[in-house]
Amino acid sequence: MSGCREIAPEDFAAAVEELAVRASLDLSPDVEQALARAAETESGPLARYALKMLLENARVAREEGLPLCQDTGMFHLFVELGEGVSLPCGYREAADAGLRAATARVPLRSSLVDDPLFDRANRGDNTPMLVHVEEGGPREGARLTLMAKGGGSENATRLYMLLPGEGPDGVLRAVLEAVRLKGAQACPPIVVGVGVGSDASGAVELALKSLLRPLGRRHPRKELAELEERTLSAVNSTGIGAAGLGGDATALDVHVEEAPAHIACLPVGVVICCHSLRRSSVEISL
Amino acid sequence: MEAAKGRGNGRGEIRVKLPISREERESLRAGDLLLLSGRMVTARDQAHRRLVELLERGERLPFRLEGETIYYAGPSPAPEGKPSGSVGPTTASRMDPFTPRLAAEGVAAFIGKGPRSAAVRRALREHGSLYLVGVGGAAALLGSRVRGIRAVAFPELGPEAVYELEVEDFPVIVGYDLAGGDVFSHLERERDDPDPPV
Repeated sequence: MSGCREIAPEDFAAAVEELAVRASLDLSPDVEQALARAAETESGPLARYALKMLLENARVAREEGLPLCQDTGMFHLFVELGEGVSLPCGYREAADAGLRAATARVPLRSSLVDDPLFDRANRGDNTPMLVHVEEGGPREGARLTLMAKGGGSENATRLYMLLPGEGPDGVLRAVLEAVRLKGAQACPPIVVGVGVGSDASGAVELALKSLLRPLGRRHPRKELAELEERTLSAVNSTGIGAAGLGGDATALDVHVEEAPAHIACLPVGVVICCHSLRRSSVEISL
Repeated sequence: MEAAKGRGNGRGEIRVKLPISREERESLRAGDLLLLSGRMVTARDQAHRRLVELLERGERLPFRLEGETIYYAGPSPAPEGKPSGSVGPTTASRMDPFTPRLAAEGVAAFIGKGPRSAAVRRALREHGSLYLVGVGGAAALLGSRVRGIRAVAFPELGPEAVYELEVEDFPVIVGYDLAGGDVFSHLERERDDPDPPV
């Protein structure tokens, strides 16, 4: 392809390794600040004790080089390619090589098994990296964002196929049901990602990607920003609280994203992340 | 949340030596903050399945359950020069189908995160076992309270093997006490409180 430049596989692998190490040890400032604010205002005594422990945990992880959570998660890599930039052949192998190197270096726990239905033998290196590729990256470069997601909160994922007429209240009810069902086991205070529209798998993917948005930043569209605020209040009024111990901070934020849907459908994906929302990002320029 | 009024029931953090004696178990209340010191063993999904299978077949277990403290956790490997990696609790309810059987064998305390089924709550009281709650995701902090770690059973399971941990001032909260106190009583109960069969 003329005029199209490729990221070198070794640069790609090295960037992935650094991102995986950083995300596992160094809690993002937006998440840490949200936890600190929650700890200051929490009225539940046990929840406050838990929130303070989580802030202390972030400090110990950073200073001692210990993973924020023993469940070092399943790894997602979101690649946004700039104009005229492409990934090299074998980019999946390069991403896996970077992840394998990070797993050995920290070291991370090997949390993935083969043959999930029968043998469940540990794979030993956390591969495969789940790679999501799209356009919209910086000019003459690419933005790589890595997210590590733990299994406890992954088990709280829900997909709802609402009636198109159920509207925003239907979305709010769906989120509340998902949170009431599994929120206490998903390591609250949680972050709730909501994908509205697309098809069933697309709604879940949208919800997952919404977790990349910095905490506290509202959707640019007013109606969705309002739905986020309203859903966050409703989730926090469940009283589940940090670690499920009863309190005001059940969620740190709710993010909603939308996409075109079929005339017959209103898919709503609810992807819940624990408080240890581990992500890190880097821009590569060519 | 009767039991959890005031941080740690106004008693502050209580230092407890493992294993916790029956007498001490009787005296602890839901919401008490404990700092545990001594030895405990980890066991999670696959180790539970294997332990209960051995019990069903009447075979010898790789370690004694009576008086044991079982921690639902799969540690990350220790970095070079450190005694342990990160080791926080995993979701306790996944072990619910196995817990009544292990409580009947005399396990003194289980440590995990999140609420348990009605059947587990009943079995714990019946057999005098405590459920202690670790703060999920506080794994680096909890790992820094581990002084030593070694695999004692099923090493082929990797992070799901049974590890013996030597801990010092390891913070947990009493979840269910022996008098029926429950730090999760504010949560809505599952509609039919299902207990899937083993």
